[in-house]
Amino acid sequence: MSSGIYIASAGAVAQSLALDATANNIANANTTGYQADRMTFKEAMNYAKSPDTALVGNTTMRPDSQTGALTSTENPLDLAIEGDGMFSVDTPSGPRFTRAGNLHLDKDQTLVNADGMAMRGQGGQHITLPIDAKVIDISADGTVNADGAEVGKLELVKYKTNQLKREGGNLFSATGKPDSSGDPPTVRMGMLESSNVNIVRGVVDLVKVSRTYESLMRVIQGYHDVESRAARDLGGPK
Amino acid sequence: MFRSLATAASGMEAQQTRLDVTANNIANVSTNGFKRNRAEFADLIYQQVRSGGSSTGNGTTAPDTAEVGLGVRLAATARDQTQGELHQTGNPLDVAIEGKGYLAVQLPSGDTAYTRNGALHMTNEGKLVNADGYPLVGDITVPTDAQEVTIGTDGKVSATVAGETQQVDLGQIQIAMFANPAGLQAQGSNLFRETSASGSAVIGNPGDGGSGGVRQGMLEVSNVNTVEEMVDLISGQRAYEINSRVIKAADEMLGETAQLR
Repeated sequence: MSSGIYIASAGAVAQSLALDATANNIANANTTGYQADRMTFKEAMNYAKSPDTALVGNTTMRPDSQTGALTSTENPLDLAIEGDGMFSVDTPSGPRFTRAGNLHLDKDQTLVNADGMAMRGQGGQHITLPIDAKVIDISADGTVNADGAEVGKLELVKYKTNQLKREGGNLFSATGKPDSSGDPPTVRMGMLESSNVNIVRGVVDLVKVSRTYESLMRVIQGYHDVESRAARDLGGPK
Repeated sequence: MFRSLATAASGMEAQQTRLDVTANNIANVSTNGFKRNRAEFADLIYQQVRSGGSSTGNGTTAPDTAEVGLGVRLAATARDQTQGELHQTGNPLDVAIEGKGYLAVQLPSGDTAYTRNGALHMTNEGKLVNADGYPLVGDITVPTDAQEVTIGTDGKVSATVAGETQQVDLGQIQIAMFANPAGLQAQGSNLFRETSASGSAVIGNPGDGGSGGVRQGMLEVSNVNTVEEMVDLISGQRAYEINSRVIKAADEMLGETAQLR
């Protein structure tokens, strides 16, 4: 058997993975704070014995860290981070990080995310607003003021993309220490960061993936034809 | 089979929900006291293809993870609590709440429901009720010989009665406050019920404890912004279309595979 058929099938598997990633990007085109997945393929087995074997493999994905478009909502509890940085959320499995700043209040007037998990303030404290608060103001450094009095400060952290792992629910878990160099993150009140999925790019990816897949199927079909002809013409007693 | 079929289906479902929410907002553009809803989404869990830091051979480790997401889900439909515009109606029984809080009405079941729609009416006995005939909590009755009903910003209801120089005190409109009004359960007919998420109602006079004052002769109109809703409608429709193209692409790819043999 020729090894080419395996090369083509590895390619097809990689393309089906790329389709899945593209589908997830497009499905999340309206998810607040969502960062698109970018997929890269690498050559695998370039040290293999046969020179014609260059399987594709070692797929890696990395969130696209470009800031999505900021849309104004005028809701004081809608926050967006300009540039790098993330909010911290207390989940049952420990602190998690998100760029989705659509905050809510729970029954105790504590700031929570859309799934009801408490936002972490500095030092892990939760931030509770007084019930009679009339004017809520959140400044660029994350300080939360109710009627002019400070009630807490949102914890803002910076991580590199390779420290982050997606958990679903707009949350990331992180390994290692946050990056404290550079400017601290800047919060914009009354704004939400839209998903940074570029829908045009999504459609182009879709076309590219399906055409590449189609070509690879042709290659597999070609090998199949060659080998069946070989079996017919050469094989067996005449 | 490809994960993308289910992923794109979740995307279509999400856009459908968004459309439903938008349709309800647009339908209620002239409903007094209506607060617009907004669908909020979150991504689903991720399937790990390869974890970050795993060995790639040759003494190197992978700098990034390879994980494929499985789609999107509805996280919340948040009610936009911003104040709607106050429109002058000149009707003495129209009251608008300027600021936070709700009017409380008594349902026939004995339960209390809360509303921002202050278009009040009078029964044949002079009792103040809402448009559906549910009496205001606090039972305020206007005597039949009353000439002019006044409602102060503090909620005090009084009337001038023929033959009397002094205004007659009829009762007090109270305002219910919630720690988390977004957690109230919508009942339809502009009514809400308290839930464990909203916290229990704190009843007080208008203007006390952070609640808004009442304005007589005004109504709070819906806070739906039609331009915003139209933009949502267009982007929702397009996103739906593109998700369906993903399903088509996955289907074609599966078709290609099935043709092999």
